[in-house]
This record gives sequence, structure tokens and C-alpha cells, in this order.
Amino acid sequence: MEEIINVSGRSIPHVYPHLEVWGGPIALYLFFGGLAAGLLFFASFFYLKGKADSMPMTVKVAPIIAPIIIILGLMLLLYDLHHVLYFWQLFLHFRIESPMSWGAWTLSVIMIPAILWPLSYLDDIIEYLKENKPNCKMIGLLNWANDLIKKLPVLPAIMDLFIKNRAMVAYVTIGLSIVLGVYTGILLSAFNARPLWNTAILGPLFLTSGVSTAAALLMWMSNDHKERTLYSKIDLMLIAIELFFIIHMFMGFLSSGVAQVEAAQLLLGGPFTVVFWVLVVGMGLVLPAILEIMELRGFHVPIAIPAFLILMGGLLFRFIMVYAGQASGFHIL
Amino acid sequence: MRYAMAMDTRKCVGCSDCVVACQTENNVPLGYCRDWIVEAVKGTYPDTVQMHFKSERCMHCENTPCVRTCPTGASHVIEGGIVKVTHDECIGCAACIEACPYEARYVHPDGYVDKCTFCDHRLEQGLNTACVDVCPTSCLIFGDLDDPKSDVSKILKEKDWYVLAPEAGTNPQLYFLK
Amino acid sequence: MFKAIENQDLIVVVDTMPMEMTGYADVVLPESTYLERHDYSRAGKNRVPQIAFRMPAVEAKYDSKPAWWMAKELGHRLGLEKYYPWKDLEEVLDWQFKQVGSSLEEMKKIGVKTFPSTEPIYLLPGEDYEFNTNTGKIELYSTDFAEKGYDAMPKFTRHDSPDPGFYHLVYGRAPMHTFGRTQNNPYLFDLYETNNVWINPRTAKLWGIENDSDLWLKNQDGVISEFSAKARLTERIRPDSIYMVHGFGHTNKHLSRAKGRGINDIPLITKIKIDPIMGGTGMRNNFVTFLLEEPSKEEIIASANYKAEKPKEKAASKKKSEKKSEATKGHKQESHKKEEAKS
Ligand code: SF4
Ligand code: SF4
Ligand code: SF4
Repeated sequence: MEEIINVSGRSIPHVYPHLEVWGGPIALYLFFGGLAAGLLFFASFFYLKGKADSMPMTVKVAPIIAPIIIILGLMLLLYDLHHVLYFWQLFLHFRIESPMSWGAWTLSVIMIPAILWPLSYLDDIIEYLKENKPNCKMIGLLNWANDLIKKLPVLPAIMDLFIKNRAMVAYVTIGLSIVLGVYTGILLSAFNARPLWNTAILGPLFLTSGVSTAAALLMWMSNDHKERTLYSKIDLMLIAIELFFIIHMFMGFLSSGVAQVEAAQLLLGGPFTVVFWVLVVGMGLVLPAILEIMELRGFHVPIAIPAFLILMGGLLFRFIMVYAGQASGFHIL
Repeated sequence: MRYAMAMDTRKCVGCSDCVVACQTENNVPLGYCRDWIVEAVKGTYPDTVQMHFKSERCMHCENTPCVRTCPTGASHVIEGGIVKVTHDECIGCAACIEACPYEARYVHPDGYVDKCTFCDHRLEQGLNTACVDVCPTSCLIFGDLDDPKSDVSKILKEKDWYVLAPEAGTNPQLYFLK
Repeated sequence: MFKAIENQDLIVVVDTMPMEMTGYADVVLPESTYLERHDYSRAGKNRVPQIAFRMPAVEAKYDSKPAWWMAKELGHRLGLEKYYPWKDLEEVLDWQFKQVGSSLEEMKKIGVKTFPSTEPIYLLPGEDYEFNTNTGKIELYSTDFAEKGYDAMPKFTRHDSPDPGFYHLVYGRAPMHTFGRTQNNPYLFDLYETNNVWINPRTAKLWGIENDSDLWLKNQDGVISEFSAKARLTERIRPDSIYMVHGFGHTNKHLSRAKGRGINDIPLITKIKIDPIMGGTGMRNNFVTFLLEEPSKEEIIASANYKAEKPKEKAASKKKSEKKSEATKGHKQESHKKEEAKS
């Protein structure tokens, strides 16, 4: 038997042997980041394709969720800081090598289009809601906000400028949303000390996963049949790409050093295996893909089911990556 | 100047004096620590059962992932290669804890991240680190690697040594003597 | 043991910590710890002969006093002033140091003074040396023993073997603690707060014991440990033995941290072998088995009485005292020794 124990010291709460300083809030933060990135990406992308009127849900209505979840994400991030009263130090420095720094700045910058975009469509959003959900309690609130904005001094001018240059804004937003989506992966993959995270595939994988959760949400919220079918197809494609990335990630791990192989073992026969393969890959990717194929072939499947599964799968995937990643490490004993 | 420490795994008896010395010298709150003792046992009874103790702490790596991931610059390197944290620049995001392959950092109950400083406040006064000074078996050797006459340079030349997780690429400066 | 305590007219305990024994004392004289008091100097004729000065590092806490003070004050009250013709230990030490060419003042500065060796510490090659034996030689065959009718040449006698399911109880020490007295120190408690039971992985497998399982121990005479300890599976112990660090499982509630932590080995040592020649005691010949379920309080108490005579009225009122009395054996001997030294 090989036995390695910690004789004394290092009684840092639940740090040893598995370091778990990051928990649920970070996973949720990454999930919200990915989702917001996807929503903004689709909105800008389809706007540029001239689909503003034929896909009102995507371009006009859904983006209102983006600023809300970005703010939620930032709040989660702040909540997770142990020395939160010093958080402003984040915005006094930009450190190019630090993914945390990148995240804080990217989220702050993307916040500008994320807020202005839905504000510029407030009239359309209210109209859309009145048409489709006349009982929605949000309508009153939105009306009030709309009136308020028009009375404010500078904002209407900014809005005008924004609306006039919307195409340019859309290009910038596409760029920013890709940065945000990739960043949610890079935040983890930049840590050389955690072999499970330390793979270049994590950035694109998280981006794809974020975009696919956004597509699922849009598919769920839209009531236009054409829009839904489109997202069904997009989702299928994204799921295929994700599966491809996941397989490649494991191939990469298994052909690397001991630490990487052991990290992969966490998901291939370790404590996280069942959750990962059954819940994330099975319920979160394969099953919704099958349901969507059935739907496209004409079987009737309530759209909410695959959409919900994909969202849950995406959320769980981030939880598992955050926790399993912290359980992976080098042989330091 | 390049401070480094050598640790003789054959001499250490696991008494943990170095842990308490650090706690009292640096006001480390009870239940936390900047250095710690690991015991490793190999073999199966009655075949050769081997064991040794290691006294570990921040390795004051030459290539510092902890400093690179810090979003505020609170983690930084000072003269002699000592890695330090400025407490009131630290936001407690714990990115540096994730980045350290040796789990040498901890979140202080006051919120900031704390770690071994090689007792730089004692070095300034020409003293040795607290752990080195109390070790009853003299198994900790501290000094300047750039000075070929320092104890640590000499012992690393004389004896076989290894570092932990060299594949992590951090070039750690805590050397374990075989 | 308990009977012995009962039969004393007066029990005076001198200790630095509120140990189990202090509960039985008629008078407790709290002693300051070694860091709070002057002690007689340490002198050693080692390879390098030396004397070492021992002085307080911090002021004594509470109402504790050093042992020399107690002895002197007791002496005065008994009318024995003439044996204490000094004010305090510093004066004594100063006089002593002056005899060897130093002084208190110097020793306060240097702490340890070394002296050159005046005689060789090893036998020189070819030296004619007589050992303190009948023949003047190193005796493998002890003529002394033979004369007195003992085995002159040690013969191997096999130690007792445990019954199936029982294991040798081996005890020892942890490097972080100095006997029981440091267990309540917050820093040292933090390092090592309880002992654990070392079990060979093969033995553990038979019992289905895993690392960190809670265990109670029962010895060959049915005595059950009062508290539990966690298992540590390790190759550092043979499959037929278990090991634990001695001196844990305190019952005195004044030991705010150490109370109730770990298993006390002393009550489990009910069989003590005495060397017929020199009277040394062997205590590592007891056997224990594991209890994986928590035994009831009654069971534990009943087991502690396994051989003790019917408790007297006074004992009954003290309830768990028998068990404690076992636990305090060591401490009592210690404090007796101390008292002797002091008187
Ligand atoms: S041991 Fe960890 S904290 Fe210390 S310098 Fe290396 S990476 Fe940084
Ligand atoms: S916890 Fe403090 S020192 Fe560590 S990376 Fe964050 S800001 Fe820097
Ligand atoms: S003080 Fe020295 S011997 Fe004791 S644990 Fe530390 S390094 Fe080992």
C-alpha cells in the first residue's frame, strides 16, 4: 500500500487533497456568461442577415435577457470574492495574462451593447408582448421604463446614434460575444496547475456549449415555427460539434502525461463519470439531439423538453468541469 | 539574488515545529498554515516499508503561474524571487490558488489570500526564516543560490535532490534532498 | 488503585495541568510550567561537558508557583528554615554557577556554558579497564545472576500471543506532544488533536474497517475504551498489532480542548508484567479487539469494574471513579515522585 498523509498543517477547510475554492457561483457565472454570449451572437448575426422582422424573438425580444444574466453573473462573481470590499482593484488594473482580469473587463465592455440593444427595441418588445402575451405583467414595467428613458437627458441622443449605426454595433457585438463565450472556457483552461482544465479545446467547447444553450432558449421562447426549426437545426449542428470537441479533449488527455491521464480518469471511471456521461452527454446532448431529429422528421415532441435538457446539460457541464477540474492536479506528494 | 530552500527528507522527523514556528511568527490564524508536513509511506509489510517526511511551503517558483493569473497585481515577485501578496490589493478571487500546483496558498479568514513569504521581514534583519531557525534536526537549509558559498548552494551541489511536479513547469525553488 | 487512593489520609497533587489525578487530591498545588519558572541547571558530562541555565520565558499565569517556592514555603511553615538559607532559586543558581567559574549574570547572557573535557570519554585502545562486574569483564554470562539463582544467560521466552480477533496493543508517542501536558495547548492541539488507531490494511480488510472509521477498543479482560478514535490504515504496523499514541482520551473537563479526544491506552493495559530480576514493568503485552458500534455508557462503566471489588459507598457516589482511577495510575506515580523529590 502506498500511503501519503498530511501530518500537520494544511487544515485549510476542504482544500486538501481536493482543492475546492471555486464552487457553484463560478459555475453559474460561466453558464450565464455563455448563455448571454449566445443570445447576443444570434441577435447581431440575424440582424446582419436582415432577419430583424422575420425573427423578432431572436433579434428584438430575447436580447433583453442578456444584460440581466450578465449582471447576475457579475454579482455571482463578486459574491465569490473573499475580499469583496476591494473588488474595485479589479478595475484599476488590466493584466493581460490574467483570465480573471479579462473576464471582468469583457463583461463590463459587453454590458454596453447588451443594455443598449434591447433598450433600442423597447417599443418592439412591448408590442410583441402585447400581441403574444397580453396578460404579461412585465408590459407595465416596460412601458414605464420606456417613458422614463425618453425623458432622460442624454440617453435618447445616444440611442439615436446607436440605432443609426446598428450594423456596426452588430459586428462589434458578434466579436465581443465570441470573446465572452471563449473566455468562459479560457478562465478555466489558463490554469496549468489543473490538468483537466488545461486544454486549448476548452475555449471553443465552452463557446459552442454556450451558443447551443442560447439556441435552445430561443427555440423554446419563439412561437414562430420557422424560427424554431432553424434553431433545431442549429442545435443539432452545435451538439455534433460539441461531441466532436469532447472526444478530442479526451484523446488529447489520454495521449499526454500522467497528470492529464489521471485528470481524464475523473470523467472516465472516476467519481464524476456517471454524472458526466449520463447527465451531461446522455441527457444534455444525445437525448435532445434524438428528440430534435424526431421532431424534424415530423413526430410531435413538445419543444420545451429538448430545450430544457440542453440548458440543464450546459449548466451541469460547467458544474462538473469546475469541480472535477479542481480535483485534478499534479503529483505533488 | 535568488533565495531557495533545501529540505532533507531523511532528517525530518515530522515534529511540526516548523509549522508552529511559522504560525506564531507570522500570526497565521489557528487552523490555517503556510507550511505543512507530509508523510509518505511506501511498501508492504513485511517487505521493506519506507517512509519519509517532507516539510512543504510555497516553492517561490521562478515561473509563477500564481502571479500571472492575478487580476489585480496583488501577487507579485520581490527581490530574491520571493513571491508575495499585497493584502489590500487582493480581492480574494482565489485565481492564484487555482493556479498554484502546490496548493501553497490559502484564503485568510480576513478575506485576502496569504502564503509563505520566506519570512522576508526576518531576512531584512539578517535573520533566517522562522522554520529554519527552530528545526531541531537542521533539515531545512535556506540561502541565496546566486552565492556559491551559501549553505544551500553547497548542499545542492553535494547531494542528490528533486523538486515536486517538475512537469508543471514552474521551476520551484524548494529542493528536496534524497 | 482506587482502594489505594481511598486509603490515603492526605493526597497532595503538584501538577501544571488539571489532570485526572487532581480530582482526587485533598490539596492541589498548581505548578508553573517549565517556561514560567527557574529550574535547577542542567549539567551533563557529555562529549562536551556543559551546564545549561533554565529561566522563565514568560511570567507565571494564574496562581501557579514553581516547585522550589513550594518546597521553601512548606519548609518555613514546618519550622525548617535552616534548610532554606536562600531567598530564591536565582541565589542558589548563582552560588552553584560560581562553583564552576561562572555566575548567574554570565549564564543569563549565554544560557549554556561548555567546558573542556578533563578525562577521555572513550576507552583508549589497549587500556586496562575493569567493568563493574564480578569478573571485571563484560559478562554475557552474568555470574551475579547465577549466584542469586537466576538465569545467567538470557533465554528467549516467547511473548504471549493474542487470541483470534485480538491484536497486540502497542503504544508510543507523537513528536508534537510532550506527554499529556501539551495536549491542551491551542497550537499543538491544532497539530495533533487526537490519537488514531494504526491498523495494517490487511487486518482492516478482515474487519471491513476503512480509513477514518470510528473504533472503540476492548481488551482481553473486557475493558472498553471510554472514547472512540479513528482508524488509520498503514503499513507501518504489523498485521497482528495495533498502535496508538499514548496519553489521549482525557476525562477532566478543565482540559477544555483535549477532553474526550481519542482513546486512552492506560485503562486497556490491565496486565502488567514485572521483570523478576530488576523489577522493570512490561505493559505492551495486552491485547485488544475492535468494537465498530458505539458501546453503551453502562457497558463501558461495567467493563471498567471487571476485577475491582464492590465499590464502597463513597465510590458509588463518585460514579465513574473506578474507571478514572485506572486512568490516573501514571499521573499518580508521577506526582508521588515529584513530592518525594521535593520533600
Ligand atoms: S508554489 Fe504556488 S504560490 Fe508559490 S510561487 Fe509557486 S505557484 Fe506561486
Ligand atoms: S486572490 Fe488576490 S492575490 Fe490571488 S489572484 Fe485574486 S487578487 Fe490576486
Ligand atoms: S521542524 Fe524540521 S524536523 Fe520538524 S517537521 Fe519541520 S522540517 Fe521536519
